[in-house]
Formats: sequence, structure tokens, C-alpha cells
Amino acid sequence: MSKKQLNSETQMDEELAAFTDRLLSDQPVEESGVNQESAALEATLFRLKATAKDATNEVLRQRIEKELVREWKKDLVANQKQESGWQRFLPGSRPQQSQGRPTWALTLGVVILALVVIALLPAGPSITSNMQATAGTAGQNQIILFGLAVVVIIGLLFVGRKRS
Amino acid sequence: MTFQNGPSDEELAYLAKQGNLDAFTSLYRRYFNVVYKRVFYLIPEADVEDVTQEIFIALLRSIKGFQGKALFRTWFRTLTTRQIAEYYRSKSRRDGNLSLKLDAIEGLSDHSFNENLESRIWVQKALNELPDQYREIILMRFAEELSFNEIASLLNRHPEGTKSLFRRAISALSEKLEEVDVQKTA
Repeated sequence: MSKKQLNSETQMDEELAAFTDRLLSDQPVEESGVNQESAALEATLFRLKATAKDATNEVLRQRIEKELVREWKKDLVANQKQESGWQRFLPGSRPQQSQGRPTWALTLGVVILALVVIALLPAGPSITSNMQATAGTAGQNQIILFGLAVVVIIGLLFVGRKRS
Repeated sequence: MTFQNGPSDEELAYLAKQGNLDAFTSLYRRYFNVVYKRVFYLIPEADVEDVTQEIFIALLRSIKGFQGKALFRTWFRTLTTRQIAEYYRSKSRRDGNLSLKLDAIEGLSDHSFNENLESRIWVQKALNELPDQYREIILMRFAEELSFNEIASLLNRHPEGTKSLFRRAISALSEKLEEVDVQKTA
């Protein structure tokens, strides 16, 4: 494409864009009638504008708004019913609160589980007796086990924070 | 059409995600006309209201999926386009073809009203047959009333390139409408 042709094309783009701007801002426009192609494009723009000239509907806007509010409240009630007991108990596990940090509730759950296991382990007769038999003293084993649990918990917390 | 006052669309979308109904209602009020006009350009008149409502119900159901990776306007435009495509898919399943019928205008007595409605139906048909990027730029200018600079910014194009694309789109639409006029007179 020659430079002269390119300039002409660019000028036609600009003219049509300016014509469209005037048409859509309800400024007076006249069909240029420069050539048949321009006239056809301008006629198409007139048809396009006429297509949606009555496209406003305040009554519909208000009706849909009422419907949306109704749907919103219905969804809210449905979501609350779906929440199970543990979801209510655990902070951050409710669907709306957990957006962007889905691992938080899981991490907390694992931490609580780990603490329960740690608290219960020394009380289990079969486990403590095995430990006494293999490692010598129950105290040493409990310290190792506790240390291991702390490492796991810190790891889980770190992963949970990183993901969120 | 730009919204410069108050919180941004993205801020409202974030609040709506958190369960704030007022924020959702504000978004709805901002976008009602844009969506209604877009639907008006693409969907037969009898279904415009239902489809507009379905689009906003779809927004309500999927707002929690908005992650802010794109502008809300762009994200919502995609959702709207998907809903309109879904309308045509279900219409196609129901009616067996995608052609727009002129039955709606038969039996009406006002001649000029008939002409307007008929013209609207043919413009819809021609728009629906355009390549996506042509249809989108026309709707961004006419339905969303975005300026050429705003469209250029959203499409990551130079303003000159945007105007060039617009002229090609109008030219393609003009050819489609000429084809339709030939069919009508044949």
C-alpha cells in the first residue's frame, strides 16, 4: 500500500469515527456523500443508532432489581442452611469469608486434630507401653513426638499463609 | 459510558463478593443500561427482558468467582456474551435453526412501526453473523457508548488501529445488510 493510499485510509477511518461521535452525541450530522462507500457506511451507522434508540426501560430496571434482591436473600438463606456445625465453629471456613484463603480452615482443622492427638497419646496404654519397650523412657518419646508435631503445625501454618 | 464517581467497579465487585447487597445493587444500576442495550442489539425483542434478567442473575451467582485479574467491565462482558450465546444455543435446540423469524411483525397494522421492527431484526441478524471482533467493537461503541480512546485502551490497541478496525467492522456490517436487502427484494 502506497503512502498516499495509507493516508487516505487513515483519513477515512478518522472521518467515520468523528461522524459516529457526532451521531451518538446527538449533534447535527450530514451525510458526507463524498463517495458511494462513505455514504453506505454512514447509512449503516444511522440504522445502528435507530436500532437501539428506545433501549431504555426504567420499569424493567426496577422490576429486575427487586427480583435480584429476592434471589440474593434466597441464596443467603440457602447458604446458611448448608453450613454444617463444624463450619459454624471454625472461623474463616464459611464460604463468603473463605474466598481467597481456602486453606485456612483446613490448616486450623489439622492443627486442632494434631493437638488432640498429642494430648491423648501419653494416655494410651498400648502406645506408651510400646514406647517404653522400644525407647526406654516415655518422657523422651513424648518430647520427640511433641517436637515433631510442632514442626508439622508450623509447616502447615506456613503453607496456609503462603497460599492465602 | 464511564463511571468516574464513587467506588470503582472492582471495589464494588469485591464488596459484593463479601456479601454486600448494596454494592451488588450499585453495580447492577451502573450496568443495567449497558447490558440492556447490548441485548437489545442481539436478541429478538420478545426475549430481551428475560435475557437481561438472566444475565444479572448469572452475575449474582458468579460474582464470587470474580478475582480481579481483569477489569470488572471486561469480565462481565464475557459473562454477558456467554449468556447470549447460551440463549441462541437453547433457541437452536428448541426451534431447530438459528434464523431470526419475521413472524413477530406479521399482523401489525402500523406500517412505519413494522418497517422499524423489520429493520431492527435484520440489523440483529447481520450483527450476529459478523466475526466476533467486528461485532464487539460495534457494540462497545454503540451499546456501551465507550469512546474510541476507551475502546483502544481496553483492547490494547492504538487509537488509529481501533478506528481502522471500527471502519472495517461497519463496512462488513454494511455488506451484510446489503445482502439482506437483496434477499428481501428477490
